[in-house]
Amino acid sequence: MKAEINKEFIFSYLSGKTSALQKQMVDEWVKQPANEELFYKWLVEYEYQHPQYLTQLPEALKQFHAYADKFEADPTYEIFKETKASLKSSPRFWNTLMIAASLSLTLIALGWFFEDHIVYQTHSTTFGETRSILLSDKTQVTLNANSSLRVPRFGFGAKTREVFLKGEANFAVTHQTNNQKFVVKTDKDFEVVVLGTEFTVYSRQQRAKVVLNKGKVQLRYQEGQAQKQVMMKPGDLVTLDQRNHLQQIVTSQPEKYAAWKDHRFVFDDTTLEELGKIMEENYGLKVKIEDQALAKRTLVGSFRAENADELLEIISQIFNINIVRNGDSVILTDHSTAP
Amino acid sequence: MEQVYPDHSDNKGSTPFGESLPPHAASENYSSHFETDDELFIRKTLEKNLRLGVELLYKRYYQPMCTHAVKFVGSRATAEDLVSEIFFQFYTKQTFLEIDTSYRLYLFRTVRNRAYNYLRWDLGRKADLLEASQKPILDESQPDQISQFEELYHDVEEAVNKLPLERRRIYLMRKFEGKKYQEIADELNLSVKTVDVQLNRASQYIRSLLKDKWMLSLISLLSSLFF
Repeated sequence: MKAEINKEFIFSYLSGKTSALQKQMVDEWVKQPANEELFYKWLVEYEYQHPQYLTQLPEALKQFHAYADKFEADPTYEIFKETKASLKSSPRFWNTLMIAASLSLTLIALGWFFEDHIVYQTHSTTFGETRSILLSDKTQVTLNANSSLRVPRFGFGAKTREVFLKGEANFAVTHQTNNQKFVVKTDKDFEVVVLGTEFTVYSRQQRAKVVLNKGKVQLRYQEGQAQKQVMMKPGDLVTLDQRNHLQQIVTSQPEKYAAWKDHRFVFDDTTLEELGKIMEENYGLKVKIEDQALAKRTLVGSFRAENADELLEIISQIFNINIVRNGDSVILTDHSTAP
Repeated sequence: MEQVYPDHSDNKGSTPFGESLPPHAASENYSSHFETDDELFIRKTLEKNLRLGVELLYKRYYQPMCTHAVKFVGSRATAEDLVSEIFFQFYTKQTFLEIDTSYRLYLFRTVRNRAYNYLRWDLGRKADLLEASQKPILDESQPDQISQFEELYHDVEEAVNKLPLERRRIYLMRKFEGKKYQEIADELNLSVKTVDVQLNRASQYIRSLLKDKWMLSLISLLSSLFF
C-alpha cells in the first residue's frame, strides 16, 4: 500500500481529486515521520506549481525588518501590542482570558447537550390557548394556540435579541436606543429581522407567513441553496410555501392577521377547507369535510369566539350545515346532501 | 533572486559547512535526512545571523505558505497576516532552536493549524463565542487527521464556486486580487454600495455553507478537551 503513495498521488490528493478511501491512506501514511516530511516537501512543490496568486515578497520582507528593528531596540516589543489595547498584552490578562474562555466554552458544550433546559426559557401554549408574554426588553409577544417561543436565558438584550418561534405569534417590538435588532428565527429556514415594530409571524407545517403592521422588517430566508432576503413595508404580507417559494402581497388590513389575539377570527374569502386547517392548528381538531363542493365554499367576515365550540356553532349557522363533534374529530356535512 | 537552495552536486564534506552531522542525525532519527539536506544552509545561517536566516526562510517559504493559507481563509490579506505573524514569532522566540523536524514541516504545520483555527473562529464569530477566542493561538486544537485540513479548504473552494457568477467575480477581485471597493465598482460599472452588498452576501453564503459542518466539529473537539 505504501508503495502506491508517490508525488502524483499526493498532488491529486491536494487538488481534491481523491476518494475518501485514498484520503484515509494518506492519513495513515503520513503518521510515519519520514512520510510527513515528504508530504510537506511535496506540498511546497505543489504550491509553487499551482500558485493561487503571486505574493509581494519585498513588501513582506520590509515589514519583517521593520518589526525586527523594533524588537531589537526593545525586546519586550510584541506585534500584538500594536493592535490590542495595553491591558491585553499582560500575561495575567491572557491567563484569565484563557480560563474564562475555557469555562465559557465548557458552558457552551454543556449547553449543546442540555440546550433547551439551560440556555432557553420556553413558553408554549396548548390547543385553544393564547398567552401574552412580556420579554425583558419590554417587547410584548402574544402567542397563538399550539405555539412555542424559546427565549435565551442569558444575554438576551445584551448583544442580540433573538427568539425562536414555532407556530404563530404577534410581536410588538420595543425600539432600543442603540438600534439593536430583534430577530425571530423559525425552523423553516427563514428569519425576521426588526428594529422596532409590530408584526405577526406564522410558521407552521403547510406554509409560513409574516404580516407587518408598523415599522420595517427584513425577512431572510433560504430557497434551495441560496440565501435570500426581502424588505417589508407596513401592510405587506409575505407567505412562504413548503419549499420556501416567496409570495409578497400588500394587504390593506394587516390587523386582521393578528385578530386571534382578541379571540376574533377574520375571514376573507376563506374556504371551509382552510378553516378546517386553522381549527386543526389552533384547537387540535381533526376537521373532516365530506363534500368537495362544501369544502370549497367560502366565508367572509369577522367573528368573535372564545373557543372552538363557539366558532363551530357560528359556522354551522352561517352555512346551515351539520356539525358533529366527537372528541377531537369534527365532521361537517351539508344539510341538503345529508341522508 | 538569491540562490537559496544549497548546491548538492558536491558531496557533503566539501560544502561550506562541511562539518560532521549533528549527533542525532546518525541515529535512526527520521528527520535527519531533511534537516541536513536542503535546509542545511538556512540552519547554518540561522545560527550565525538569526535575521538573515529568517530572511532566507521568507524567500523560500513565504510564497507557498501564503498561497496555501489563502485556500483556507479566503483572503490574501488575512493569509499574509497569518504567515507574517508566524515568521515574527519564529524570529522573536528563536523557535528554530526547538525544532527537530525540517523548518518546512514546522512552518507548514503551523500555518495550516493557524489557518484552520482562524477559519473556525471566523465561522464561530456569529455564534457569539467570547471575544477571547479572537486570537487563534490554541495550536493544540488541531485535527488529528491530516485529511481534515484538505477537506476544509476544498469545502471553502466549493462554496466559493457555488456563488452566482457576478458575486463570485466581485468576491475574488476583493479577496484574491486585493482590490479596493472603489476599484471593483469602477471596473464593473457598479456602485460601491452594490459591491459592498454583494461581498456581504458572498461571505454570508460561504459561512452558512461551512458553518454547520465545521462549527459542530469545533464544539465537539473542545468538549473532548474539557471532559
